[in-house]
Amino acid sequence: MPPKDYGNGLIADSLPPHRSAFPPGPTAFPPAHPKMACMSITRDEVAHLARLARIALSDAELDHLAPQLGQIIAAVAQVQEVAAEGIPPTSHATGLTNVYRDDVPIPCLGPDAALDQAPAVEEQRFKVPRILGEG
Amino acid sequence: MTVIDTLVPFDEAMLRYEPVIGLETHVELGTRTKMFCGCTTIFGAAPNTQVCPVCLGLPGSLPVVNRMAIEYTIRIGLALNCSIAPWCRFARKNYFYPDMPKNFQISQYDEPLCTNGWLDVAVDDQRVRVGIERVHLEEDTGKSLHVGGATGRIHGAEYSLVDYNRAGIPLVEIVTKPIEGTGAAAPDVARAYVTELRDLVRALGVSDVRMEEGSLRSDVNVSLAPRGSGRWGKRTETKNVNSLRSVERAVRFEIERQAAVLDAGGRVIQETRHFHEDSGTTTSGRSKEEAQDYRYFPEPDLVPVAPPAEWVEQIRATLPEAPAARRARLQAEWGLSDLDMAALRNAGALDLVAETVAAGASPSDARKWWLGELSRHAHDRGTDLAGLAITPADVARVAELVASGTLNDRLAREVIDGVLDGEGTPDEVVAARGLAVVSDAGALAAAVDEAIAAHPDVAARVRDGKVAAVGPLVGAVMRATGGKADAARVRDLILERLS
Amino acid sequence: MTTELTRMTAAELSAALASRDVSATEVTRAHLDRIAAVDDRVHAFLHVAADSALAQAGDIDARRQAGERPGPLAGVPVAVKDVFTTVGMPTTCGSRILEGWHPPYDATITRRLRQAGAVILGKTNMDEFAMGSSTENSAFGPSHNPWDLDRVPGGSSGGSAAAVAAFEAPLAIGTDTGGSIRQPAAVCGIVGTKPTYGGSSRYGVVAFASSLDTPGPFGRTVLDAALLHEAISGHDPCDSTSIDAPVPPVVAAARQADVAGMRIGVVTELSGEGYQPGVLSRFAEAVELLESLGAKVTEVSCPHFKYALPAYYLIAPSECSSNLARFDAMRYGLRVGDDGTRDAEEVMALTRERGFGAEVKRRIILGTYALSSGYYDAYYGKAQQVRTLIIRDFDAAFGQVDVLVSPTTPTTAFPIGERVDDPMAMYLADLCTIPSDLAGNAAISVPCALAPEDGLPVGLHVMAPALADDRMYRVAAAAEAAFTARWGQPLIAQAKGLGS
Repeated sequence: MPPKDYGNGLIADSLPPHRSAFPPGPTAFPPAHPKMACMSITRDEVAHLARLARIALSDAELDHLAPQLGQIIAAVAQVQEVAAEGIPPTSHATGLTNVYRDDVPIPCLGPDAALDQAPAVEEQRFKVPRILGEG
Repeated sequence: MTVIDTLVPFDEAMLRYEPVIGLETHVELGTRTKMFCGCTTIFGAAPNTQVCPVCLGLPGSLPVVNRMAIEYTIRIGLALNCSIAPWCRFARKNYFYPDMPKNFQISQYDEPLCTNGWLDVAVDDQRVRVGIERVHLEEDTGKSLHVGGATGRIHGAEYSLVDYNRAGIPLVEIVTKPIEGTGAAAPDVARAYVTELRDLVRALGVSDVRMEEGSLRSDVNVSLAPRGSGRWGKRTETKNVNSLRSVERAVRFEIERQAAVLDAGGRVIQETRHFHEDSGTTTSGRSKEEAQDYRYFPEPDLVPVAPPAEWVEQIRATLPEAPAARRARLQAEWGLSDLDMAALRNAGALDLVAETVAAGASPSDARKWWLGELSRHAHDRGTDLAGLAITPADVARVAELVASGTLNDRLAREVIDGVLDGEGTPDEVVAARGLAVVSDAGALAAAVDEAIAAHPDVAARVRDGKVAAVGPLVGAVMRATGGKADAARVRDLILERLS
Repeated sequence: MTTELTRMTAAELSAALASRDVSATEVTRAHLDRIAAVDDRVHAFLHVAADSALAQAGDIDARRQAGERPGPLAGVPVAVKDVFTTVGMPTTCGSRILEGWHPPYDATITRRLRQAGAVILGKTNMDEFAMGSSTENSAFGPSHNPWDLDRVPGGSSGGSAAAVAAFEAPLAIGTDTGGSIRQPAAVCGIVGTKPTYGGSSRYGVVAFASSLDTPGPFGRTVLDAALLHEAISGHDPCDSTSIDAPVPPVVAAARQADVAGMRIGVVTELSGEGYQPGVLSRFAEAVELLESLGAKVTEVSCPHFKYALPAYYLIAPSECSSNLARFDAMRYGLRVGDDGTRDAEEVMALTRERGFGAEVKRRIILGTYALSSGYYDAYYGKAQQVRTLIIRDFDAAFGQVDVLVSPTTPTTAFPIGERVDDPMAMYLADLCTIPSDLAGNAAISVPCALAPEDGLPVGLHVMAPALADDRMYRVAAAAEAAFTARWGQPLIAQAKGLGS
């Protein structure tokens, strides 16, 4: 499908700013007020993010990262200075839509190739350490 | 940790509380290939034989949307009277779990493909219009086997084995609006909704919707509030509901459990619960200190879906008659009451009767045979009607043979026995067993005379005008002909003779 | 003969191979010898695929002998950034978490290179998962700038740039997300292009920031880069973001090399504080030169460009925090801590802790933050709006001029170790390149001069509208011709770092 208006009238998203269709669940942070955008981030907040991202940061890393990230966040928070009332966000620069494939099978990898690089295999399946419950 | 919940008996709970229910149903689409790659989707294949870089989420792989999955989802949305989004996107739902190869699921967040529809559901004589909030598309996960624990469940397992054949199969999620005002019928409404939805999706030909195979899964949401309070309570979401009966039982249990919590002055925790088939109870999911933050954002590897209006109309034109509409039409054509119609549905006989009528039988004959003799056979053989070795065409033929006088009811039953035993078509069975009604006038006349001669006292009473006494004479002729005479005709002949 | 072969451009090698003056095997051997001679000092390569390269070369020679006329790149060596999947060779992305991973499938670009008959010499070093501007974030040690081995070759495609600048390969492939092709090209004194986003397939490119990653070519000349650009570009049904349009005629444009009458805009905002004076002065001279060639030069303001860096450092980490979630020890790659006592989540967390370097962890945490519930609108959402404004700035600018120009990067190659503990200082290297990544436009860096302070290369950055890649090749080629005439030889001939 040819892209629409590519180059000079890029079809940016016509979506209104992101809104929640569903009531959000409780989170560890209070919701941020845009004007009060966190200029600093606490060690606990970094620890929470690391848990969300499944990285077992060491204490030394946590100590080190909080101020560093605080600096970076303060810098990137500059985007909030921009008056963007009514400006649609761009998530795709190309303006393409409706790219599809036909419902026609393509040869699969085969179990040997699929499992070849796995750290552990049993009964033609990926063997993983015990899972505690819903992720 | 097993907790025995206090329960308030259902009827009592319904005196004090009003339930609000909601259902989230997942349908695995029956496309030939997966949602974002060309792997096949055959159920029951050997592990990890239907995988590729895309559905394994290998580094560098990219998804491409299966057009048929979009079409099927639009079909479902239209059949549910939804609006189809002129423009929407996929979004990433980010969380970690070993059965999800990318540790995010490509789904839809605040831009579902279909919104704002409804499905009418009948429970006894109540008609409920269930609102449909949204219908969206996402990809299914792989399947884990938990090894080492007692029951093959997660708790106590030593390790898990993951098969990604199912990862990436297109999944349609259908979410109802909250269903209010059902009162004590809530469990039945929930069950009826899932049943109706299943039948509708099956009629659309987009999925085989077998709950036992996992191509139809339903989560059940329940909340309670004091009667007349006008508020809504906190809702729980119950997963692992794997059959229609479980849907009903899960709603019922949650109502009883939540009523007990509220009665005791406690608060219902908004949480995910797990349904247990064996006990009909629900237990709390793993408690988390922090709620899940899925960090949704628009999927950058996919471009927006903007189905052209012409395509949507083309799909609309190919929609089959909705099951509810078809049932209403047949009910009117056959002149049946709601109760009779419900009886047909409950017996699983509706389609069979319809096909039998299509093959030439009258509706009442078709119903008589399927609900009567054949239901008895099914029960005896421990199967359902559809599992019997007789076709609607066969049944229609038998009814025709009876109507034309070739068979009487007793002979017809023998023919049916023969067909079920694999002896062939009704005509073949009639010929092989020599089951045709004796209609030879001479033979009958002879038999009649013999019977009259053998029972002079009975004959005398009939001659005197006591027509009702003719029974034993008819019986005698029937025995003499080996049951192969038409009883009504025999009776007429005897009465003629004795008049 | 060997030294000469490695000094030849891809275009020259292509001609020599086509006329059978030289065999593909000889060409490949010469480059493998060069790698053996210098790569212990340059460290451009993480993996040298000598056997398969010679096999490929032998195959091309056999085909030519049999009378076939394979395409222009047949037998020409190319180095591939270790972010592209390659069957039969490891793909590490410069990370411990993928050390030893042998992918079971080729990237589309790998496939196209093979189909073109290019000889893949090996996989080049890079900042881990393409995050960085110096290759110092590689888990396997940095690469060294052939101009001065104590300096960085830029990043994240530093290995590819160093390989070409060190004459280890005439061509190389990299990826550009915030400048990761153009900035290394500039500091190594070679040509590097970021094609239009969607112009070259991302299938098989291990994702960093999906809406920004763009594979592209390195060469020592504009024509070389154009040849490679054409060979790898074009629609790919395996990549939904791939553009279904003809590849812009970049080779023809590179040969055209004429700017007379073209309108060139100097971006006001891409200058000033933080820019090395020598870089600014050489850039100004380059602009004057273009004017003398007949171009019409004006100043153009793109007021939202000053928000490009913060917007990028919100969008890219957000996307990468999601893209890198798959590295969890379950299906491939490093697995740490699986001693039978730990559950899957612990093993995941330990593996990612050990397997990811500091910059990657920083960006994952930053991205997780920016996407968090309650923060999305203020950060990621806002950044996407800024992106729209930057696109509009470009649209307005391209309404007035044909191409935009700026220095490629504010400084020349900095010393190894100078910025490695100062992430913000490191990020500034991308100031000029990031806007075109956000907009998805095409941009190229062509060497323009040596900075007076340090004698190190300075790059001229030319930006064109999306799908107008040929336009920038035209300007870059014209500039290159003029510069070469001024210096009397290609700039790269002046590189002293390796001695010869």
